[in-house]
Amino acid sequence: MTLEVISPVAELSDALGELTREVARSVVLVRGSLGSAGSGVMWDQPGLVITNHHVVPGPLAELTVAGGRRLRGRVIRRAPALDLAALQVDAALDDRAQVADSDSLRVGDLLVAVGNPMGERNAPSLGILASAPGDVLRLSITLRPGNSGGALVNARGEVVGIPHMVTGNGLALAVSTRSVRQFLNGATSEQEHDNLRWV
Amino acid sequence: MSPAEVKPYTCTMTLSDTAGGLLASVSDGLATAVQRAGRSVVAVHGRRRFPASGVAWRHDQVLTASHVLERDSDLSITSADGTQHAARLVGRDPGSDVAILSVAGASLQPIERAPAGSLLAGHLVLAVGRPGTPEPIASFGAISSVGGAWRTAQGGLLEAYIRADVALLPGLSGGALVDVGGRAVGMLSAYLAGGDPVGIPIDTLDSLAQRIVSGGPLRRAYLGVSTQRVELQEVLRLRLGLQQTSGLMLLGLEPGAPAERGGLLLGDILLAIGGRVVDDGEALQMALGPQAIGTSTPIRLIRGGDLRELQVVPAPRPN
Repeated sequence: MTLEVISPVAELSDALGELTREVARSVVLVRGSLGSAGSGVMWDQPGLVITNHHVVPGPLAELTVAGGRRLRGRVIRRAPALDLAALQVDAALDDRAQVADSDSLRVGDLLVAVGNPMGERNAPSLGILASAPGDVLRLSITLRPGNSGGALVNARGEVVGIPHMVTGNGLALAVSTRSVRQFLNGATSEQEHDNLRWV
Repeated sequence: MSPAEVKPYTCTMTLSDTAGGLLASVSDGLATAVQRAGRSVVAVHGRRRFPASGVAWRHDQVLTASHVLERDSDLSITSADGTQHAARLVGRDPGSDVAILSVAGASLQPIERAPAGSLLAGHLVLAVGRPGTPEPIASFGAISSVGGAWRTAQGGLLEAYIRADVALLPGLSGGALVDVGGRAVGMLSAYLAGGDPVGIPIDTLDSLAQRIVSGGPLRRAYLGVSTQRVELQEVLRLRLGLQQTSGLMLLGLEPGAPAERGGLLLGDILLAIGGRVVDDGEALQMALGPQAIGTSTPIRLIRGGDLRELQVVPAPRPN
């Protein structure tokens, strides 16, 4: 007879798996019209996908959502200095991210990035917040190209940032949801409003 | 995209209570460990670039990495509460990359220590520093190995060392490597292994600190100079027949100290001490080993474009 003991580490491992699967439902694969690729997050507003400016340098992008459905997204706003772009999708998106305030994070808080590094779908990377939160989050985490534009979530699976830069040696940067909020509220100076409506 | 278009809706993400609760408590535990250790991690101001970190060892004593102190005087620390204190270098051992600062009048909170011998490969650890930031900074990883003794490339002998895969954020050197409870298992150095993080275990730090404070085998010789590394122009090197590409320009001379008594002048560029090339601050430290104390030592330098050699008698480093 064997005694089955569920160790806390095994529970933690299971919980991370569950978190990744849940978060992945709101993470999309983004292919820009100029050959770029990365990730995007179905935001908490209908038809809105947030990604990095550098992931979608052109006006259009092809989005692959969980389950494989492909959608067309058009860039409706971008802020190169924040490395943010907003895409509008003309389709109902069932899964959306839960977004939390990045300012509530503490140094050391557990973070998981879910994206499409090197073409790998919905791969999680585990790390922590490395320094006090601001417009940009410094992360102790190993990310790779393709994580850009994806979801950086806290331990509750709520999006707190958009990973956008790998600085090497296990360090990376993410745009905080504080910055995304300002971007969406139009509080940034360099947006190109509705740039496709005129085409 | 106007705020008016934003419609409320129900989020569909569902994390089970078990998973959510466990992950939240792990996250909270890590952040609490950083805060707990952070109370005893200070900023160390001893170089031209951004500050490094240090660990409060006693209420008036800080341990830091020797290589982050580019000078011997004009040092200070900023404690966790944001107060800046002047600090005095008690001593250092560049070979093991440890330096001790005395902070008179401070009431620092000495770092809590993890139980001795509790460390194994695979244990989770946090690296905690404070490079001049109000909040501590941290990275996370696992212990890769615990070993010793180890002869460092810098000529030191460490009784034991810790390797961990924590990310080396700029300014983490001199900071604490702590367990998930926020208790110190070692002090971090980015210098001993060519940029990879090395933790010097607290027991090893204890004996190093005792030797440095007692001025025993680690007594260092003292010139009473402050210097800056300068590149030597190729024209000058060719004319003087020099191999080395840099030297140390004298920016300060302590009145009455060995360097001034030996006739060194501000602006002199030091090239070698006792036959050892000094092309950076670290080389200067290594050249001022205990063997030089009280011994007439030749100092080769450039003055007014010409080579000179002077004799200086280094003193023991004053306490």
